[in-house]
Amino acid sequence: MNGYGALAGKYLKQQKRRTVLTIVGILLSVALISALGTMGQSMKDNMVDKTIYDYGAYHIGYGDATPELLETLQHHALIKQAGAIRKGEVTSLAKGYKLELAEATTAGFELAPIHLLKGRFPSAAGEAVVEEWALAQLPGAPGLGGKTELVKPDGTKQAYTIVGVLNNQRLNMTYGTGAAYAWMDDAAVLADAVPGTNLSVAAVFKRGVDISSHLPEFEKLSPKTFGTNAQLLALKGETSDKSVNLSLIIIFSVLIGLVVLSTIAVIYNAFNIAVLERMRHFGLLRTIGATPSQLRGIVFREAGLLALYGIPAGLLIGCGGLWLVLEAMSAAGFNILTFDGFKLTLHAWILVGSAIVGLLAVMLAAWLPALKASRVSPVDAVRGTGNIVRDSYKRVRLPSVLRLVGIEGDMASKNIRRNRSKFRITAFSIVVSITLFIVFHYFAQEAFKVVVDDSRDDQVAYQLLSAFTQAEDVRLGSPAQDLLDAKTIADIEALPGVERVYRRYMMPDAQAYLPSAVLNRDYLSRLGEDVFAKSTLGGEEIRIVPAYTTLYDEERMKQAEPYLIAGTADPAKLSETNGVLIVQKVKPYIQAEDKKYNMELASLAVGDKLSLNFGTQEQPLMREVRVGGILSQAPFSPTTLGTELYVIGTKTTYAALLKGGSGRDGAERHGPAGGSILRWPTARTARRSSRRCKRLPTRTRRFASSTSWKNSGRGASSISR
Amino acid sequence: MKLPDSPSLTAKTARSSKRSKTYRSPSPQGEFVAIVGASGSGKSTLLHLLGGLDRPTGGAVRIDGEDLYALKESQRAVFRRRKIGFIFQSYNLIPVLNVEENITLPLLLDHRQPDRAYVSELIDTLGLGERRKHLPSELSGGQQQRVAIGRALAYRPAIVLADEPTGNLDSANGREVLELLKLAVRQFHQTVVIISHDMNVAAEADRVLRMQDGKLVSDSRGGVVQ
Repeated sequence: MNGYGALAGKYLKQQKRRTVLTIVGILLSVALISALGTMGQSMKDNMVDKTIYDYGAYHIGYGDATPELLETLQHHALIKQAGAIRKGEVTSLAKGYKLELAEATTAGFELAPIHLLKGRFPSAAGEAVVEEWALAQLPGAPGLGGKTELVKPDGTKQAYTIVGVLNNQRLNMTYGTGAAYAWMDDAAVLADAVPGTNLSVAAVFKRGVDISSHLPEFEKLSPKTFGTNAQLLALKGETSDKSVNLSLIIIFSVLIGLVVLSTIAVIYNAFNIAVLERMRHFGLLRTIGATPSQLRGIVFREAGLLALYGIPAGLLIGCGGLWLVLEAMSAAGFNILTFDGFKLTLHAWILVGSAIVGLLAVMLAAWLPALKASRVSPVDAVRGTGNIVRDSYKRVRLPSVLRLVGIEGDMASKNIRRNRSKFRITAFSIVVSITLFIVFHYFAQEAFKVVVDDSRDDQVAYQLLSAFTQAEDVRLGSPAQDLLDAKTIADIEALPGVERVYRRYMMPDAQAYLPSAVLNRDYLSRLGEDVFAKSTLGGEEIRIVPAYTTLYDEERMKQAEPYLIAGTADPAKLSETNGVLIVQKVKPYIQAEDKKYNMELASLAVGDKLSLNFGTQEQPLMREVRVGGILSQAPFSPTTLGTELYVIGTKTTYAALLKGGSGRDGAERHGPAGGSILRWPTARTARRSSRRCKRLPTRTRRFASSTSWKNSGRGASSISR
Repeated sequence: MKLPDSPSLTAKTARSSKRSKTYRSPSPQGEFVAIVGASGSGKSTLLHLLGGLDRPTGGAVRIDGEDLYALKESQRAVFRRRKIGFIFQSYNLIPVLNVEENITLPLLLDHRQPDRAYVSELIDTLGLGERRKHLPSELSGGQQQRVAIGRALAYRPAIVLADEPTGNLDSANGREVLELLKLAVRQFHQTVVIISHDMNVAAEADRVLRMQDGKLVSDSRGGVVQ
């Protein structure tokens, strides 16, 4: 022992259990703080990355630009980099696919959202990069390093060497037009100024430039075609819209504040007890000549030692734990906060900041106990008569509920009164932990709502889909073909690792005519009486509620089983009884309150008749089904709706429903005016029958749509692993 | 070994403002003083006041010419660890420190490195040579009290104050402790003030002060009693 300070370590060693517990307390809070900080920063970084990936890294851009504008930007003192892209011509490929070749300057490649899969960007004339899928469609399917002939933006054909392969773009694939880029020289752009050649210019500012204050000045250069990468600038806090950053900061500050508060409470409690227990020792130290400040020093040193072990371990566990959780979530197939491939970014300032915050919290927690230790009276310690710590035992006869439960309660009440300060600390700790639990629970629920949304879609490994063309729109008479034939689907099902294949079908819109009586009064009062139009049907007052109709194949029906509240989800039984499944639980967003509610839309029961209009208001096409089963939520996205009734049918049910229906062919039908609007079409052409089993995968939702049969599309299949 | 200055002790104290009494105890170096009296006669209070632990309601305590209670709390602590050694009835050792560390702790508190040779000599003299790495809980009562004596002597204070040092010990151990204190007076020329109600202790002392009801009633040396 070379100094009295070693006493601190010796005390800690003697009280191993408490020391370990206190270190664990510090560790946990530092872990929480660093994990929260890292999570917040990572969220922001991922948002920035995603924005850059989706929209490009540029800050400002000009469409339809002149070469002079590029030159001005390149020589501007505030601009770090300016690039140009010239939109190109389309080269037609086999099987109706197309390839659009654009040209970009070296800086243009960096600023635009062009993503290399392998290889490099072109850096000389005659070099090009092509999207991976489109590469296979080129004549002779040239690989990386191969040659091909493409139409240049000026309309002439030229041979290109493929130096890089680009990531596939979903939209390009859906529409069958691939992207390719060739290189163009900055000097060439500036020199051969051909106006109206679809030149776009983009630029990034230098680091440290106050972008928002300089935007007007750049807008003046070409006010009509000026644009900003608004999302990126917002994330960088460079626009008036600081809400994204601000809300992130507020959420994470509140969480970190709570953690710090609870750390202080826990560590204070531990230290307080440790100091109270040792009051006699502190008194002894005073008799042999320790000054009050030396005693404070010993307590702070203990705190420092605990922090020395707790903080690094906490940082390690915080970041490691976060990584593990995210890794596990990705492995389980969840999208983290809607990001594809959420990446954890570690920042030194967060680690250092967490360490400092943790240390400050520990020292703050040790402050009062240290003061208490330094104020011990040496005489009290040596008198040896026992009580060093004088409890302020007030003989106040406060009525206590505890006294009502007999002698035990009476004693408990007395003890609480005697150890008032301990009681307060304990109560405070409980309050803090309950608050923490509630707040974290709430945040976890809110923040991960997208993730915990119990949808089987999250387990779908990949989807095959395609856009329908206008020619395939059923309204125009030629129904779309299925994307995959039965044999291909069977082949996919046979692939190793494929668990099941879901088919997706494009369904027409419909309106449910619900008797006013079955609608939830509370729902109507909250969303407004006029949310659903009133009408009459067979003399009964009804409301016209938009229906989200969808078709489940057998595989999908099986997934609905767990959510069944009443009735059956057996496709055979449903088909027999002309039955459908409905979800009448809704989560409407109420704008006035800025809140989402969980409530029932209607109170339909199994066996109830459900009138659906597949036509328009003016030309109704009424169908009647029965409620065969009621689900608490749909197994696939969207799991719940806001202002629509979820109607799920089987193939047979819908085949019957759609038989003979036609949105255009409504000459014999008339509107709801006067008497019954229900008019069963008896003789219809079977033109629509082939339309069953069609559904566009990403279906746009419409409210009270006036035209039905609007969407058609190729069938699509989802494959679940 | 000689102390640089001849220590002198003056105590003027009061248990209440009404009963105020002055004791003047000019103690030449190396004197063994016993304060005796019945329980509650104020012996311990006097000792605590002499050691700067308590706070008098009036009067002054001077040790080595320094008015203890004119000093600030922290200065008094420093004075205590340099000039005053305490020995208590209940040993009052620091339980987490071993024999050697307990003995050198006051020096360490004073930011001084202990004189190893002197500490070793002290430990050997106290008969604790075999036990220097033992914790207080591993020692007998007599051994613990010897450690306390060692601690009080380690920094060569001006005065050692012993509060019933034999009170918790059997007669053999008690005698041994008493012998050690006498040895300190002879060998290290240490002034020792011991309070006790044990007349055997008083019999060993060079000088006996008798207290009653908070007043000094007699001095075997015929010192000034006002």
